[in-house]
Amino acid sequence: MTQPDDTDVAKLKRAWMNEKCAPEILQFQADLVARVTEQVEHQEATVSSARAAAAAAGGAASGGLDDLTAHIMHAELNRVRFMLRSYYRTRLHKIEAHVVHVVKETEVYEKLSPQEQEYAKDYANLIEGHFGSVLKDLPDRYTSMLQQIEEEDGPFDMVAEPNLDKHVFCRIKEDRGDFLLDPNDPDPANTVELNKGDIYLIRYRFIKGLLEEDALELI
Amino acid sequence: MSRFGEKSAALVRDLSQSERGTIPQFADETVRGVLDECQEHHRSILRLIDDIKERGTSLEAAAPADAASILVHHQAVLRNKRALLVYMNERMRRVRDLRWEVGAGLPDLVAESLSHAERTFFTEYSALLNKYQGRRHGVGLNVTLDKSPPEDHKVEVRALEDYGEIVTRDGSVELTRNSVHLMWRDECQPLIQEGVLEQL
Repeated sequence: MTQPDDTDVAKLKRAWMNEKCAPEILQFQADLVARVTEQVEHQEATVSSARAAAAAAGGAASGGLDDLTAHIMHAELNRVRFMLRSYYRTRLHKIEAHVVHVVKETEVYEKLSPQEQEYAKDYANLIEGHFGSVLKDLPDRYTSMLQQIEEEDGPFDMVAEPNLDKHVFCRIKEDRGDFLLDPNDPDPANTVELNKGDIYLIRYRFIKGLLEEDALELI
Repeated sequence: MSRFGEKSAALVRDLSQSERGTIPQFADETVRGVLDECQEHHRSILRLIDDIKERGTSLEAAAPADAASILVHHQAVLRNKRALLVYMNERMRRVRDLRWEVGAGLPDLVAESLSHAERTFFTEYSALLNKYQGRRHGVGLNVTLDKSPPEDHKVEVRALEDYGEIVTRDGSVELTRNSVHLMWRDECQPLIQEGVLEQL
């Protein structure tokens, strides 16, 4: 089944699939989510008033919507709500998995919605307290959650980060011609020709930029 | 002192052998034991350093044998620390999943096998998620529902306990143990999560 891909629901579906497939957390789609949430609430009101009207008329079709239409709208509503929940959920799980990294790196932190930023900060404090309850009884300089042994200017060698070298499937959305995979390795053999509709299995790191430019989608 | 790292290895081994999704009793004694062992290692390290200093050599110029023994104790502490964190992290992950599966109430049976810190963690984590889901400060949507994509409007469910009467869009329903009902998906989901109903 095909549907126009410029509706908000179709866009949410794209955002949700990209989020599901990408190893790192992506930019939060604030405007899109706000529009969809509003539409969901509106549709919800329409369906329930149609139901109430139908019930008042003794089950017979009445006034605006008949029972079947209300039923179909309700089904659509459930699907959209599922996507919205799953979108939020996927993002929360990614925040939890790499919370210290998310909170520490400003660039990543700014990709979150205000609620997610709050969540990330609180969660970081929460696990710090939780691990701290045992780590505090280790010898001096071994008690850090971020470093194996505390050293000034030492690397934070215990912070989990997303694996950007993970391979992802992607579908190209616009013709880009020859694309250099790794900017640090300008070997001509290292380019691929990107044509609209092509599907590649490729390392996420290489196509991160293209995803942000919306030149491809993850599948 | 027993063999280095024996206790901490046992912690991780026991947890990894337990069934997924279950939370075994918190091994308070072993955890204490591992922590004591770390302190013991630390004391050995300090003693070795003192010995070297007493002999008037700087740490950099210490004999390879001394340096090696310090290193062994240091690595033993790091290994214990890593094992402790693996143990705590995996348990924490399971406690966290519990909030998504059974909701905000911690079942008594599980609560007994958690440490004090883990119970606190559950309560605070639950509050954190509630805040995110709330209407006032959050997204206004219960994100723990809809684990799988919706298919039908109504689902067949069986009551697992005498829950009493509930009011639904279609009128009131008496939930008695083993009674089977056809209910709206969105209305029965929270009850399925709580374990009052099971989906057929």
